[in-house]
Formats: sequence, C-alpha cells, structure tokens
Amino acid sequence: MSWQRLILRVNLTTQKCHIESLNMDWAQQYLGQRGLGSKYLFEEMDPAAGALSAENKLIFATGPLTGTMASTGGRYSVITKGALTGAIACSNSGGKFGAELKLAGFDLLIIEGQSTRPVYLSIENEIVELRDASHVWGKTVWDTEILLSADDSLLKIASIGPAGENLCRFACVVNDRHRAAGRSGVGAVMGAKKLKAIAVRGTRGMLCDDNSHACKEIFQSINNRLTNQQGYRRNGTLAMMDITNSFGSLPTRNNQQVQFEQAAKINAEAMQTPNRNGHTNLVTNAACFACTIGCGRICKIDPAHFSIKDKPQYHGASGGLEYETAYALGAACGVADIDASTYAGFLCNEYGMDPISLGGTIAAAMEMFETGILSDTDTGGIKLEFGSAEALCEITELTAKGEGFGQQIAMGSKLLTKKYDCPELSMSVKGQEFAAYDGRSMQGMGLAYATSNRGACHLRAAPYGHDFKSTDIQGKAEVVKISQDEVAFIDSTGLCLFTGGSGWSLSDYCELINTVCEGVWNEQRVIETGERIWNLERQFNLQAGLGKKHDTLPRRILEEPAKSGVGKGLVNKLGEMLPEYYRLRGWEEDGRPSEETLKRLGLKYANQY
Amino acid sequence: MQISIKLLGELHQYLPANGEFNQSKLNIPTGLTLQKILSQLKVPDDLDFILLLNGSLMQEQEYVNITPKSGDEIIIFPPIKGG
Repeated sequence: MSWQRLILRVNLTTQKCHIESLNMDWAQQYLGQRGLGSKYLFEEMDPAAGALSAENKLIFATGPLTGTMASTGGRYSVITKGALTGAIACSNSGGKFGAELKLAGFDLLIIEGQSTRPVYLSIENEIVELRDASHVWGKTVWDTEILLSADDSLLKIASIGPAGENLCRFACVVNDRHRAAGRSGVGAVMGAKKLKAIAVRGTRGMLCDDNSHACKEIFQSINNRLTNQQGYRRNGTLAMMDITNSFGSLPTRNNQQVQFEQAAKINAEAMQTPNRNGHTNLVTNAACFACTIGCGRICKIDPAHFSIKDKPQYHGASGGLEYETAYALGAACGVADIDASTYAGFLCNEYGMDPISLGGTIAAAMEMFETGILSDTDTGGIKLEFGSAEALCEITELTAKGEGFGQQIAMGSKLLTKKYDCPELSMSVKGQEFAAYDGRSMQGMGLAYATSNRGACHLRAAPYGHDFKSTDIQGKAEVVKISQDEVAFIDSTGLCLFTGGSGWSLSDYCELINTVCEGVWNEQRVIETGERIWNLERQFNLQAGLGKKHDTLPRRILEEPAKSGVGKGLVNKLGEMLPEYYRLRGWEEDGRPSEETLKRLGLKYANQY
Repeated sequence: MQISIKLLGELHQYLPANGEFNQSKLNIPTGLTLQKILSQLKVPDDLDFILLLNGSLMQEQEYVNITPKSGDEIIIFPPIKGG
C-alpha cells in the first residue's frame, strides 16, 4: 500500500538518526502529508515553544499518493511552528524531492533538536547519515545543489540559502532549484537548526496495491479526467492576473489600490510577447513529478536588462514568475518591469526567500518611505518608491544577503511596521503577508485570510468562484468553511491543489485514495478528515497563544473602501461573517472549538489555554 | 457597431478568428443582447463563467435584457482557482 509505514527521525542535538514505524492509527485519521505531519508536530512539541528554538520540530511529510503515477503525485509539505507567524506552518512543494523521499522508503522525516555546526542529511534508501556542511554553509541554493550532487547527479536536494541561514523570517526551503516550501518561514527554522540541506536518493519503490496492473489502469483512467489543463499549461498561474485586475481584486501598492494600471506589462501575455530587443521572457513550461498539467514557467531575463547585464550567471533560463510572484514583486510594489520582477524572483529561488512575503514587506516599506516614516538614511540611500524597478532589485539583493536595510526587510512586514510604529501598514494576518487577492471585492477571501491557520493565504480555502459571482456575504462563511476542510484533505494526499481546478472532483480523489490506502475513503470521511486536520491546527495555534483576536484583517481592508472595480466602495465585512463561520465550525463565540466538536472529530478536549 | 471582448483563462478558445491572445474587437448589430453575443461567440450555454460589462459584474438573468453600446467592453472568465 502507498504508506511506506516508516518514519526517519533525526536528532540534531545528539546527531543520531533512526527509523521507526509509522503510527497507522494516526495515518487512518490524518491520512498523510499536511494532516499526518501536523498530528506528529502537535503530539511531540509544546506549541508555546519558540519557533527558532531547539524545541521546535521540522517535519517533511509525504502523502499516500506521493511517488505514485497519479497526476501531480509528487508533493510534500514542511510542517513546523512558523518563524514568520508563530502559528502552525505547513508549506507545500512540488518538484521531484518529495517523490524521491517517499521512494527512499519514508512517509515522514522528523527533524528535532539543534546542531552546533552546519550539517546536511544524506539519505540513500535506509542508509542515513548526517554530514558536515561547512563547505556549503553560506552558499546559495543553486550552488549547494551543484556541490552536493557533484558525485551523484540523481540526488534530489532540498536546502536553504543564505536567507535561511541568516534567519530571515520568510526564508523558505527550496528543492529542485526553483520549487519551494515557501510560506511562513520554514527555512528559518531549518537555518536555526543549522541543517543546510537534505540530499536523498530513493530506489526502493513502493507497492500501490496487490494488483499493480489494475492500479496502473485506475491511475490512467482518473488522470484522463483532468480535461481542463490547457489554461494552466498555456499561461501558468499568471492567467489569473487579467482576471483579478479586471475584477478589482489585484492588490496594488500595498493594497492602496485594487487594480494595477500597468498590469498588461507583467501579465501572461507580456511574458510571451517579445520586447523591443526581440527578447521573450517565457522560454517554456515545466511540470513537477508525475504532473500532467505543467503550469510551471521557465523564463529568461533579457541579457540587456539593467538587473543582469553585468551578471552572466543570470543569463540562463530558470524558474519564472507565477501569479503570486508577479503580484508581490510587481503590482504590490507598483513595478511594471517583468524582467526586474523575474530577477527578484530568481533571487528568491537562489537565496531561499518567499517572494510573497518579500514583496509584501517591500510594499509596506515603500509606503513607509513615501509617507516619510522611512528616510534615505534608514534605507541606506535607496529610494524605496512605488514603481521603482531599481529599488526592487537592490532591496531584494540586500535582503537575500542579509545586508543593510535588507536586514530589516527580512523581519517581515509585521515586525518592520511595528518597529516604526505603523502596524496598520502591514498587509498581513498572523504576521504573514497577503496573497494576490484583495478581501474587499472578494469578501470570502478576506474571511479565508482572517481564519487561515497559517496566516494570510490563498491556498487554505477556495472561495474564488463564489467571490467572483457576488460580493454579497450571504453564504461566504459556509463556502470558506467547506473548502478549508476539502483543501486540508487534498493537502494530505500528496497531490497538487490545481488538480481541483483542472477537472477532478471529490469523488476522483476518493477513488485515488481508495486505490492505495486501506479502509474505505468516501466523501464524508475525507471531508471529516479535513475538518479534523483544521481543528487540530486550531488547537496548536490556541496553545501557541493565537486565538480570536488574531482572526482579523488589517485596518485598511476593514475600514478603507476599495477605490475601483467590482468592489468599489466596499470594505470587508469580517465582523458579520466571523460569528457565522465560528458557528458553522462548531466553535464557541470566543473562537475555541467546542467540547462537542472536538469529541465528534476524535480530538482531545483541552481548552484550558 | 464595435465592442471589445476579452476571453480570459480557458475561454480564449472562443475568441473570433481575428482575436489576439485573449482579446478582440467584435462588430455587432445595435441592440444585440449579451445572450446573443455569447451565442455568436459560441460560448456553450452550460459553461460556468463570470461576465463583466465595463467593469461591472453582470448576473446571468440580466444577459437576456442588457444590450451593450458601441465601445463597451465585455470581459468573460471562468471561476478558476488561484495559484
């Protein structure tokens, strides 16, 4: 079956590794990846412990479908207490690393303790070893991959860059050069543990079912139901920019506006259109392990562009702009230079930073600069003005390297704005910067941001269709609640959420899980599994000190009406939606799950915190 | 009269032959309803989509009554999920 039934546990304090059995009762309740990783984290650490302390754990978790031939079946998640948020973090990545870890024989990799010197973890099936990493400490993700795979090009590597080493609050874990477990600062947790990288080679394979031929046919049949993949393949996720900009939900200049008048310079069409030098940004699309969609963008920066003209190392093709990156390193900063945003995105991959939080923090700093809160002296002479591609590139370089004013950007927008006594300018929830949707024209997304267990996020619920059809808040709480549970389940399978937008329904996911997992997984059970995961994450956050008062939005979204678009004149009506959301969740008015709800889901009732 | 149309996301496949990337100019008789324009574009009746007329959200029941004017812009997109 497609659980390998094994955990690799690595204690960095004692420098000991051992293999143990997976708790199959928990696997039946939490499935895998996000759910199972969160369960282990919750059971094994005190949620009140510091994110950068030795008490925090860092869990790499695969799902039962990771490493199979189900389309997109290569996902893994990094679960820990987030350095950016202080909340439970679960960052999901594609590429090939997750499948390789699974094929090495492990469902979960649990990292605990803290090393006194830089190390990396070498895994070749059951042969596991902590090795000295002093020769790659300080190196970028790209150089680290080259150096560690010098003797074995088949190794798959997940690592942190200098940003993670420097404890940048939004540092990420990058694998396969440009796929990342991006959000919430999981890379800073890895950096605090002095774990530079995990290099894995897996050849053990796995058994999906007693009848592998029938299993293969089922996968092929279900993969063929992904009939709606062309849009993602042609335009990538950047297809969304024209939609949100038309609708009036593209956060622009730190959410001061909701439409970017120069979006046509950074959208999917711009990426595919030759510039005046005849250079085209997009080279080709790319797919992760087993993926039939291929939304990834592989791009080149114009060699004549100011950002790289003296830097030939950036002249090659690499991971290009996704919608979120183009928003954060484009519209959010008012920058309409696709090559500048691509360069900043390259640096995020190379140095290991989350581009959403980076762009969101730079946008906040730009507003602080333009309103006089920050001066030239503060920024080291950088004119942090909205629209300045030069400033974007320069401050991204400094943040990546932990130099100059970049050290303050590396704190994230919540701490940066708090330091300068203007917390209202941080467009974040629970310390995590907004994704690329404004919560005034998209009321449900505002509620989703406010209630997300890992801070503002567009991938913790799916109110898109409902929001695009109406700004009326009627029914939003229910849509958000149901989709949060559904997403929590899909995030626990080993599959990519984009399969949902490409044609799979809940019954398709159930069929896939039933093909590889023991037990009967019907729609009711998988949704209940998602709900259990959501409530477990909530319990973690409550014990970490995050409750109702953190389920909120920045003042701008609650009090400043949108200036244009479908939501013109609207603020987010969180105050009206939140009580209904709590009621639908079976939570008390103070945002704590009721005893009845926890018992129904098989969770411990311990609401004394 | 002439109107502008944008067909975003997967819907670019319904662009007229003179369309570029995801937009086109469309010559239509005065008084044509949104419903008739959608039929002319061969957008299937059962397709789930969102329609903006000059930036305003239109509800499906309005398609049979509303007649765009010369120079108007229609944007149509599917309820795709984000990334």
